[in-house]
Amino acid sequence: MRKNIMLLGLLSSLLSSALFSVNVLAATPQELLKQYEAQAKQENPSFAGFSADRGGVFFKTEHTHSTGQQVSCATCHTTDPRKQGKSRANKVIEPMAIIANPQRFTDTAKVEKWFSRNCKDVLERSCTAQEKGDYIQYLISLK
Amino acid sequence: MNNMHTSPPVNNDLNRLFLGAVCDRESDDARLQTAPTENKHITDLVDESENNRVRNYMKKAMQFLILISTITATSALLASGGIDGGGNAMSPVTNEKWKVECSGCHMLYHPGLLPERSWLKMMNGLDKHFGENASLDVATRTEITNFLVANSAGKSTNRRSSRIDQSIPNNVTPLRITETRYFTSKHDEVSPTTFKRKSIGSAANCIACHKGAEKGDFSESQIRIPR
Repeated sequence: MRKNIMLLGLLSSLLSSALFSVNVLAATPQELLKQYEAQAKQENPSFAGFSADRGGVFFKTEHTHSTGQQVSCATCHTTDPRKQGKSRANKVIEPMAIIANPQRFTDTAKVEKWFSRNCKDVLERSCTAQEKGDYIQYLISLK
Repeated sequence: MNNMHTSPPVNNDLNRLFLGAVCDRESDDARLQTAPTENKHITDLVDESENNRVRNYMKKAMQFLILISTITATSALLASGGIDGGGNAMSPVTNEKWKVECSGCHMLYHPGLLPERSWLKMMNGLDKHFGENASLDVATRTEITNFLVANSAGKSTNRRSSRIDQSIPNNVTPLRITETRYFTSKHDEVSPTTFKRKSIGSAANCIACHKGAEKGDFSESQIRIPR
């Protein structure tokens, strides 16, 4: 009996520490949106919120890259972010839409790393906080 | 074995006549089992069948033991990297950051596939990494670079890495493994159209045909070219 109680105690402490460590690292897409909102207000005093529709257009709009290629976010992520995409090196990219992949937009550093890389790859410049927020809003809105 | 025979020498000679030269090369047991029995006394037969049963049982047990020990020895040999010197298998090195950061867009390439100078050049040009931006923060980049250098082709003892290293002229710093002479000579029988198959993508996608590629295992027995 005592053994059982000890085991239970050990298990619950393990569980709570696991939950706690996850909480420390994690963010939610909503929390990230708040951060980008603060940034967007700084970048543009007349900021009027994020728009899922604008994010969807941003995701699919093709740009002529300096290499001559037509590129968009959808080139690798496909036009349906609920589906798996494929990198140019043939690696599967898990879905971007939150509904299909709840892991998305839960790690601030990871999100910033990929915005920084992919914005330069597609747009050949950094993305604005407005664009990032619209895009996340779009991915949240997909059901 | 011969002293266990209960049949007289005449019988042996008869058996030889019946079964011919082929059986001469086979074991005594085989001859006894297939030999015609008309010339044998009943008592002999009873004794013989009892002996045979015991002998067959022992033989099967021995065969089983030999089979098991062969399998064990072979797998141990394979795991240790083969018969020759350092073996073909690249060492099972790992680094958490390398694993995560270097497999986001492509398969995970083992450090033993390129020499030190190639990895240094690659890690210093991540903003233009084969046409894509793969920038890392300084700390992560330094850790991964050190890992790649420490386990690079010239520093590995396995035969495959050494051969890759030796196939690259000193004045050349390749970024693509597919450009090394080692690679081209090993894949000369694979046509360019095969590499372009949807299931493969390109010659850089080792893992499409070498399922152990990310662990540095490119052994012939593991190759399966998808349709």
